[in-house]
Amino acid sequence: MKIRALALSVILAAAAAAPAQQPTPSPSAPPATPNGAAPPLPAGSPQETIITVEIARPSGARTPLAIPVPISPLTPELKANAVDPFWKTLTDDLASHPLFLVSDPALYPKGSRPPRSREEGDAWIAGGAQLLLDTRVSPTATGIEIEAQLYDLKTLQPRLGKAYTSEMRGARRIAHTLANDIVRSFTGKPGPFLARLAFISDRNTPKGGRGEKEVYLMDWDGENQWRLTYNRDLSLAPDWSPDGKKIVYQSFVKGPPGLFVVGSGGGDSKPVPVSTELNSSPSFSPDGKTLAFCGSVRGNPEIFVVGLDGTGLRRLTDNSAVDSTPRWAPNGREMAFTSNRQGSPQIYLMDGEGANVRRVTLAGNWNDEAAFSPDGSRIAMACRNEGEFQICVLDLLSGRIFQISTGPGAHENPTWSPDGSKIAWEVTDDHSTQIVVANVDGTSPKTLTSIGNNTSPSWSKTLE
Amino acid sequence: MTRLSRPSGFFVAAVLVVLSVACSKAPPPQAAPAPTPTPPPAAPVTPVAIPTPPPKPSAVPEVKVTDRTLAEISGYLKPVFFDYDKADIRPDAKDALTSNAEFLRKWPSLKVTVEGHCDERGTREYNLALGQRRAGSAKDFLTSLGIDAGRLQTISFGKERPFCTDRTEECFQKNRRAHFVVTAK
Repeated sequence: MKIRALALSVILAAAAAAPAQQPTPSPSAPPATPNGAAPPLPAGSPQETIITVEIARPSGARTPLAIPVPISPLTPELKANAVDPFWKTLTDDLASHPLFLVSDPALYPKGSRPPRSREEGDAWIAGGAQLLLDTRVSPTATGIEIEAQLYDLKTLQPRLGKAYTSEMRGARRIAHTLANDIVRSFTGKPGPFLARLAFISDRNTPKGGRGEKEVYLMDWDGENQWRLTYNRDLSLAPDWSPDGKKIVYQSFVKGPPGLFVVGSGGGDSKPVPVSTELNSSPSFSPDGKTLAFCGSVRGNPEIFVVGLDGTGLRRLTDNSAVDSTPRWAPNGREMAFTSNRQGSPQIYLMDGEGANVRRVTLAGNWNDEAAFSPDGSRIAMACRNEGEFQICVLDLLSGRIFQISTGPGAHENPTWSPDGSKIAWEVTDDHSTQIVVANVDGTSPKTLTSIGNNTSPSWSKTLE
Repeated sequence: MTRLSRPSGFFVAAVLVVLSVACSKAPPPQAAPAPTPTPPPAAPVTPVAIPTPPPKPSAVPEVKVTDRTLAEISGYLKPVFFDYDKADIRPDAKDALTSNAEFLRKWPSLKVTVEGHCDERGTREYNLALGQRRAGSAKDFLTSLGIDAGRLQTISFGKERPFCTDRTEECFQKNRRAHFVVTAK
């Protein structure tokens, strides 16, 4: 993917880079702006400030890696059900990772596996590789065994040797596990390849139906898409529990929308009984014990927290503006949310008690749907200056904003992979809404869905 | 728990007929094509003329609503339209709400769900909150006119159930609405 090393300097009316003021006394029913433009920010804080939105650039050089076809017996069944899916999955995983560049298979030398001599090693290096991932797939009585050796072609020393067994249909899972192990050998932590995405799809809405949407799950690469809920009604905004065992979402199945929790393996959804209306955008706290969500009392949406059993309901915001879309920070002490209390919808932070409210997005006419990186240092969000939403990443320490998505359509609802290396989001074009995934710098974008409309991706928070 | 009745295809069609609003991309060509005016520059969102129902003998129709289906009765309640990212009741919305209040006073057994809807330009999650405020504003206005709050339930669909899907301001305006669905007679 071509990434333009381009910095968009935009002059925007924005608050200066200082903590935002506490909510200004809400101008009750401000005059409607007939032209639909975002109203000006309240006087006082805004100044003409130059805010730079940078296009993300790939950082660091990728190490060229050769992944030749696995050595295996020439059995058509083994090839179709294990060797091919294993090889494709392994190649796709590692090619997508910012550490590696998979070198061109057309340049791989014949034989020389594993490389035993300097000459054989140099033959691989001449093909553009620095690393060689040599694999072997063998049938066993109950399935398959896959052995893998990762060679450093300069030293000819194996960096990593692993063997895995499973049923035949587990070949893809072995590939994800191996890819995780390889990333771990470089970074000390696994890659994101076994983490899954929950999302919302209308693909099974009957013709002439009312737009039913259900929760689905898929692997990070778009494989294994399957339906988790059967409410035959509107389901929205799934979010994983930190342990990966549960998913909370908003459902309209009982008429007025409510929060529901379903096991990530399927089964019955259980309601979280709350007295509020709306009950949208649930977010699991990092300890898995409470949910933040957007609830409404007498028509005014505010941020609430509640225990999974419906006890301990507490309101955190109290503002006549829209307060929505709470997202817990990984430290469990703060959360981000969206509010239009100062004019246009912007992202704010507050602590878990609703105190210390401060605005963190200072530029643009709409910033929304904050998602914390797993280490809490960055926020991915839907950002808009003009035109359509794009996906931006805000570095909380420096205040720098990088736009990672490009291209037409409205881009929204970002979610981070649990290792922090990738972001998935939804893109709406003139035809449909689909889920894409890319590296955090926007490289290697890939569309994961194609059937119906697919929205609201939520990445599981566990790596294995 | 009572399940809400939701707009069926028929219902939506009925409402559209009542409103005389077509959501189609291209109206049928006129016999004598007038010189096509160049569309005005996209920018300013001018207040769109709110579709009004065809003239009726009186504001409150002389029908016995209990003889009609819920969807048909819902068709007598006028939708209320909003500005971009706003939930304030506009002057033109006050007329519609006043007429709705009159209708609901005349038929005190009716129970109504007030749906809040948004155009597609806002984000999915924010629009759910904004739609709730729109439904809440409409409900508050009706209760200020004396309608019992217990007859009015609010629900937000954000941008999940658009009335029209063109990416034009005309269509966006149709989707920025509070919409009334009669759930019991």
